[in-house]
Amino acid sequence: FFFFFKQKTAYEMQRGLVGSEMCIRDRYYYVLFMQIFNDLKDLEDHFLDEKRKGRRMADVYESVQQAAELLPRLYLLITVGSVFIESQETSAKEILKDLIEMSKGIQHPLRGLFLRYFLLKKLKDRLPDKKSKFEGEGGNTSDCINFLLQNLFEMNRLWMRMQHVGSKDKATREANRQELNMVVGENLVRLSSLQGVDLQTYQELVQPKLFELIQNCKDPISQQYLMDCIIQVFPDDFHLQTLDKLLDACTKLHNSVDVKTIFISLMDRLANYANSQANAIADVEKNINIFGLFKKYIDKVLEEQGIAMELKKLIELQVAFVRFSIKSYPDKIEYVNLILESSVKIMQLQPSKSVTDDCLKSLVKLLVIPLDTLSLSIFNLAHFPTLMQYLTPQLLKTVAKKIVMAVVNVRKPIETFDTVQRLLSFIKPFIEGIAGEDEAKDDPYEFEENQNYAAKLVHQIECKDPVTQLEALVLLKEAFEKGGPQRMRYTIPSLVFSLYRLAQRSLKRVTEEDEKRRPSSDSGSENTTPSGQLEGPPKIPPLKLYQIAYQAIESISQAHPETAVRLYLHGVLSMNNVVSSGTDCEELGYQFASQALVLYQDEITDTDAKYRAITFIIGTLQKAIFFSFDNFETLTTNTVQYCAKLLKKQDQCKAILMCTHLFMSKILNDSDRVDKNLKKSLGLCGICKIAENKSMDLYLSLIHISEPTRPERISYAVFCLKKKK
Amino acid sequence: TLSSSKTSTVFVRGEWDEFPDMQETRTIKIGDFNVGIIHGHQAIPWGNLETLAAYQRELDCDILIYGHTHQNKFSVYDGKYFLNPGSATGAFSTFTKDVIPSFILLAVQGGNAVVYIYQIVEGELKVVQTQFTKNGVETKPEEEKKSSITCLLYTSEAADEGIGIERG
Repeated sequence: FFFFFKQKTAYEMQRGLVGSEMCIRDRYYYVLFMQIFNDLKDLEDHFLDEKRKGRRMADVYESVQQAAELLPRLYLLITVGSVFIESQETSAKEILKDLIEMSKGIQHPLRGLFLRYFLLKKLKDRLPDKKSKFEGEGGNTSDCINFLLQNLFEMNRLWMRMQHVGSKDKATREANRQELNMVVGENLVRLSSLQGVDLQTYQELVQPKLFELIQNCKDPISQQYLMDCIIQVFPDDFHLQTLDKLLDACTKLHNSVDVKTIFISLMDRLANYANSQANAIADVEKNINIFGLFKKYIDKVLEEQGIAMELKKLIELQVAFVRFSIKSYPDKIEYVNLILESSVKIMQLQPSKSVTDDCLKSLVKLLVIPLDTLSLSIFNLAHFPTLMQYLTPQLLKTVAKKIVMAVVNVRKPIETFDTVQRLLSFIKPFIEGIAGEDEAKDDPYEFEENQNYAAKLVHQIECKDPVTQLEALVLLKEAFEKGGPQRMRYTIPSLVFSLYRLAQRSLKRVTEEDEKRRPSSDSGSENTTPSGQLEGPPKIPPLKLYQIAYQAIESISQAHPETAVRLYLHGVLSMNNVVSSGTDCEELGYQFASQALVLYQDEITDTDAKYRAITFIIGTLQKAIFFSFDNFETLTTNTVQYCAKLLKKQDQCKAILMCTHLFMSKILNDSDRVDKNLKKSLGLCGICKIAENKSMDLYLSLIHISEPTRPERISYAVFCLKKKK
Repeated sequence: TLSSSKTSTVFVRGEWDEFPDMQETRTIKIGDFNVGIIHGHQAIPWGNLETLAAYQRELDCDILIYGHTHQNKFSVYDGKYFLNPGSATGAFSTFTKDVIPSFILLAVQGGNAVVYIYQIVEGELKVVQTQFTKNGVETKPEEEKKSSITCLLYTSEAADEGIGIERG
C-alpha cells in the first residue's frame, strides 16, 4: 500500500514535468528536475529496502510499466531499473539495453535531454565496468562504452535540434543551448571514469567512435564543446599518445569552430603536464615528435583559415604555442625560431591596417616569453628582429627593457664583442630613448629604474680577452652617450668603474724604460707574480684605457660636476696601481686631478658640496704615489689655496688641517710646510668668531684631527690653546 | 637576505649618496654601548686608525663603525673598538685590492659584545669571532639578565655606499 502511495506521489510530481511546456525557461526546468531527482532518490531507497526484504525487482520492473503517462513511466522505470541491476537478478547489460531503447520514446529535445541525463546519473555506479560486481555475465567494459556512446549520440542529436526550436531569435536559442552543454558532457565524464578504459581501449574503441560522431554531426556548437570536453576529461597522457589523430580531427571541424581555443587549451594542458612530470615529454618523444605534430597542424590551420581568422587570434595561437614549446622543450631554441618564422609569415600576409594595438600586445608577449629561459640565446633567433620591426617605438622599448632585465637577472656573462653589438642593436630604444618623448619627466621612478638596469648591464660584460673587453666597453660608451645627459648620470659611472676594474685586472705597472730602474713599491718583480698576471708588455696600452675613461667623464662633467669630480679622482686612485712617474700616463693622471680641481672651482657652487668635494680631493691625493714632484706640488698648492677660500671658517680650518697629510707624503716630505700648515689652521681656529662652547669644540676637533700628523704637534696645539685661554 | 630580518635600520651618508638630508654621522645606544657610525671617506687618510679615533672621541662612542675601504677589520685603540664590516657584495674598490665579500654580526648584551665577521674566502664561508666588554670590565652576574640585541652591519652598494646598521 505504502508502495502505491509512494508511487502516486512520485507520479504526480512528474506530471509537472510533462506539463512544462516549452514556454518555461530551461533553467526552471532544471530546478524542477532536481526536485524530482531528490524525490525519486527517496523512492529508490524505498525500493532498495523492498529488495532487501526479498521482493523481486523483476516484478516491480513489470508493474511500473503500467503507469499511464510516458515520461513519468520512464523516470520510474529508470529508478527501478537501477535497483534491478543492483539486485543482480538479471544481467546489467540487458537492463541497459532496455532502458536506452525505451528512452527513444521521448523525442522532445529538452525533456529527452534531461531524461537521458537522469539515466546517466542513476546508473552511475551500476555499470558493468571492469572490476565492478556487475562484470562477467552481466556485461563488460565494452558494453558500457557502447551504452554511453549511444546515449551520447542520442543526446547530441536532441541537443542539435534545440538549435531550431524555441524562441524566435537565433542568438537566444544558441544561448539556451549552451546552458545545457553540461548534460551532454556528462556522457564523456562517465566514459573517462570507466576503469576499463585504458590507453589501448581508448585508442581502439573510444577515440575513433567519438571523432566519427563529432565529425558527422557537422554542428559547430556541438563540435566545439565536445572536442574541448574530450581534451578536458581524458588524461593528458592519452592525448600525448594519440596526438596525431587528435590534431587531425581538430582540423577537420566545421569552419566556424574556434580551433584556436581548442589548440590553446590543449597546449596549455600539455605544457603544465610537462612541467609536473619530469620526463613526460621525453618518454613519449621517443616514438612521436610532439612539437613536429603541433607545428604541422597549426601551420595547416593557419594556412586554411589564415585569411579568415583575425590576426589577433592567430598571434594568440602562436603565443600559446611558444609557451608550450618553452615549458616542454626548455633548451630547444630552434623550435622557438620555427614558431617565430611562421609568425613572420602571418604578419607578412596581413595588410597593415589590420594590425591593431591588441595584436601588437600579443606580439610583444610572443617576443618576451622566450626571454626568461633563453636570455642571450635569442640573438640566435634570426626572426626575432624581423618581428620587432612591426612594433611601435613605445612597444619596442618595452621589449628592449624585458631583454635587458632578462640579461641582468639571469646573470649570464656576455662574452663576445659580437653579442654586445647584437644586444645593443636590439635595445637601442631603451638605451637611447624615443624621439619626442621625455621619459624622465613622464615617469621619474620608472626612468630611474630603467637607467639602473642599463647601468647593471655594464657589469654583465665579461670578455676573457682584455682587448675585446675594452672594445666592448667602448661600444657601450658610445651607445650610452646617445642617451643624453640625464641617462648618462646613471650609466656613465658604471661604465667608468668597469674600465677601472679592467685596468686593475689586466695591467701591471707600465713597463717604460725608466720604470725598470725604479724599484716597484709592490712586492715582487713583474715577472714572478704568483697569480699569473700578464708578463711582459700589457696588451692594452694603459694610456688608451684611461683616455677613454677621461672622455666618458668629460661628457657628463657639465651636467653632473660632483659625480664627474669623484670619477676623475677614482681614476687617479686606479692609476696608483699601474702608472709610474715620468710617463705619459702620469701626465694624463695629472689631467684627471687638475680637471677635478677645475670642476670644483668652476662648476660646484653649493657650500657643502664644495667642502665634500675638496675633502675627497685631499683624500685622493693623500693616496697618490705616482706623481712627479712638480705635478704633485702644483696640485697640493692649488688644493690648499682652495681650502683657504672655503666659505665657512670652520671648513677652512678643517680642510687646511687635512692638507697637512699631503705635505707629509713621500713625494713632498716637507716638514716645514707641515708646521706652517698646522699653525695656519690653528690660527683660523682662533679667528672663528663663534660662541664660546662651539669654539671649544672646534679646538678639540682640531686637536683630534691633528693627532695623526705628529704627537708633538698636539702638544704645540694644546700649548697654544692654553695660551689663548 | 640581509634586508628581510630587520626591525629598524640606521644608515649614514656614503660617498655616492646624493640624498640631501642624509647625515654624515650617527650615534645610537645599543645595550650599554654608545655606538657611532661614519662612512669613513671623511676621515683622511682613509682607513687610518688614529684619524678614526679622533672621530670616535668627537662622537664620544665606545664602538665606531666605519667603512669606505671595502676591507673588514676589527681594531682596538685606546680601549675603544673599531668595526669595519667590509663590502657585503665584494664590490670593486679603486684603492683596495682583492676585495672579499663580508659583513659583521654584532651581538650585544648589556656591557658585553660579541663580533662575528662573516667572509667568503675562495668560495667558502668563514666566520671569525671576537668578544669584548665596555671599558674592559668584567660584568657582574646580575647584569647578564639584560636583553640581547643583535645588529647586522654592512656596507651596501645597492644604490650607493651608505653604511647601515640593522637591528634584529
